[in-house]
Amino acid sequence: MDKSKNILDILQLYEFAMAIGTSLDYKTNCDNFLKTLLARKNFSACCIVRKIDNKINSLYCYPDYKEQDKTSGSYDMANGCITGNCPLIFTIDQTNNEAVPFKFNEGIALFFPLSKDTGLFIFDETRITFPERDLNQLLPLIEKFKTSLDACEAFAKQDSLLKRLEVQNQELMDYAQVVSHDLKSPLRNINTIINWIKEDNKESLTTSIISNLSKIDENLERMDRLIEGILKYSTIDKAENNYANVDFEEILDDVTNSIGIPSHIAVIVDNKLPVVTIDPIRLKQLLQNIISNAIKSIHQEKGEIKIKTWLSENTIMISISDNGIGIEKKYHEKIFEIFESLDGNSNSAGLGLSIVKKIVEYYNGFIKLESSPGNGTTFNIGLSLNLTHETPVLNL
Amino acid sequence: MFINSNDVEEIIRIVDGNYANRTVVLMIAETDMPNINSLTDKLNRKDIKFIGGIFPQVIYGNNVYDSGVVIKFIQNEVSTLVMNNIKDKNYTIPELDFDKTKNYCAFTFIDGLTGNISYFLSELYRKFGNNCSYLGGGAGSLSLQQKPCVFDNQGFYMDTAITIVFESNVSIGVKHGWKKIEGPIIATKTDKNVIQELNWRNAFEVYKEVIQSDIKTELRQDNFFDIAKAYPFGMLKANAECIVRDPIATNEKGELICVGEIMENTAVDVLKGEKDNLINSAKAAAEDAINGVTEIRDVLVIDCISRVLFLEQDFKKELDNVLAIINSKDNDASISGALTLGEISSYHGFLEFLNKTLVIGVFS
Repeated sequence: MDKSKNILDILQLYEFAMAIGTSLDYKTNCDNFLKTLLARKNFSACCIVRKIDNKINSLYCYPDYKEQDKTSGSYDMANGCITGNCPLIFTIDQTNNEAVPFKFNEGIALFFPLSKDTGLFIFDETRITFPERDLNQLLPLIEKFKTSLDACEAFAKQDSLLKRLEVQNQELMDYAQVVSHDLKSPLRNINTIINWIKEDNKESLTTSIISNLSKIDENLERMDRLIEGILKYSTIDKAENNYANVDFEEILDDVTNSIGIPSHIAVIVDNKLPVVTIDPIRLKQLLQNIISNAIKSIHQEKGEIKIKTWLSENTIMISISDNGIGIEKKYHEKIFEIFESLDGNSNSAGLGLSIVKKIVEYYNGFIKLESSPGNGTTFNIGLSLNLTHETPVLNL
Repeated sequence: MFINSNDVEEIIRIVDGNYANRTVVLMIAETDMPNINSLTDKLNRKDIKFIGGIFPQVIYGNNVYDSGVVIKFIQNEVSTLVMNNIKDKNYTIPELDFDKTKNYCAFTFIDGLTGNISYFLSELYRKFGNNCSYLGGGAGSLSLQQKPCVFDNQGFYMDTAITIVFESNVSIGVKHGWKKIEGPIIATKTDKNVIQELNWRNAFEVYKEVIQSDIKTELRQDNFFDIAKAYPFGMLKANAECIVRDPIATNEKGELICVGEIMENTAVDVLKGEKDNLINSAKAAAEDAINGVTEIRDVLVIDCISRVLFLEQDFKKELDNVLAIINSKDNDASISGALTLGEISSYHGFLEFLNKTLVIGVFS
């Protein structure tokens, strides 16, 4: 047994194996492996073909071939090999060399099935035989190469899908912006006209007309909030991330200041969160919606909102409890649906908790509700810091 | 044809008197070379189509020349292609229509000191495949300083390849005669023509261990070229001699700089030259070349300059061997060509950039 030849064979297999799957681009992957194979084994040409609707399509060819060089013999040869679906060595001579889409006088062709409709041909002008041992040596390599080609095709599909999704997301964002702008513009005009009517007819307007005009105004405001809410809802998971190091208490101060906590309600905070890197705008929107709902639910003289936060295995945990009127069990799912409002308040667009749910989903998190009528409500929220799209960083 | 002169007027006169509407190929030795811009201007004024290259030395008969010009005339030209920016891979090789019933030769001069030459050749083969036989060599200076070294009617270039494709029946012989002394070793980390690691270790350290087990002299950065010229690398190729890679320098990082690329994870041997082996390989290459033809119209020899540096005075024996074999087929036939920085040829398959190798093309 020639030991040095065996070692060389093994090292060459190592070289071939290392050349496989070095790129997720189909052509580059083929180039890297097949050009190495051609160079070391002194093969002349290779091509990967796929049978689609009774036509043979070339997925990769080295060297390039011209479509006009394909003959009916090319189809028969490829079709026969693909149908046979097993590795083959066959002779190319004057009787069948016109089937090879390259200039080829005589030699051998190797065929390796890559799937039920796809195969790899390798042509060799320098030999008229090819040892079965050498074919057996190539088989596991081609099997590995096949897996890498499958990965390339899957990646290309995923890439194309992602690009389409990106375009559709952008279109949706643009659409939401345009619709919002176009709907808001006539609302502003109506509001202005109502104000003119009120100004110009101060003396002649009856109380009933003034009351009706005020109702129109209120509805306009409601419509405006609704449009704003829809815009937020549709873009909350698509807007760009602006990660920043966030101190939870600072964010909470901003939120409570902007909402304006009524004097009869106490906000009790128990914060155990370190500084985390997260999008502060989304966090603010989440807190704003839940705290606003809590305020609306408190009808008694002394209200209380308790906010607890802590970190649990890379998840930001937030618990917000109120001593408000509570929510019946049958509404526990429904309240997160879009345009659902339980308090019958005409000022509510019914979007707040839908937006909260979307933010939670964006962070691969969860939101759980504990509530019953008369016993207040607790929202338990988890926001994962392990995001696949853009990972927020924990700064301890 | 050989002109042992750097006088532009004399070169023009001889070319003009012989070219007969054919494309002229000029292989010019670098010492005392004629002014290329002046030569180009004057050939253009006479509407003579030409390509050319500057080489360390040229070959005519069984002699090598430091100065002078070897001239070939090519008929039945299909196309001449000039590809710039070889190192940056920023070029396009045009499509050509080949008649499958005819034989073609693609003859290439390339800046032998530029990067990505093997990649260029693989792209050339991608375009032309086995419609052509391939021949050629790396142009440039033996000082290993990169400067303009190939030219055509439009200019004098570096980092450029010029390929002339013409109808011709050519039989090629390729041999080097270098023999393995150690290996296989894996080139575990490479960057184009630079070997950074061998067997997952610093490339120079591994190479030095191999060399110093064969000779007693210490291998250092300052004597690297003189010693390494006798110990090139060989990359395995089925049904053929291995492909030689010539380490020409090392740097402070212990990397080995070669003429021509070595792909990462290639298994290589360290080779050693024995004068007799090299000289005999020339004979074998010439025999291979003449076996493929029934008559000889012209013979082109592309031989590596490093073989001259290694064989020294004995190099003449290599040419003597080649000429003797050629003359055994046709007593009137002569040989001419260039001593190059890397050689180009296909073994009826994948096109390779070779080092320390002799390529003989016999045209019939």
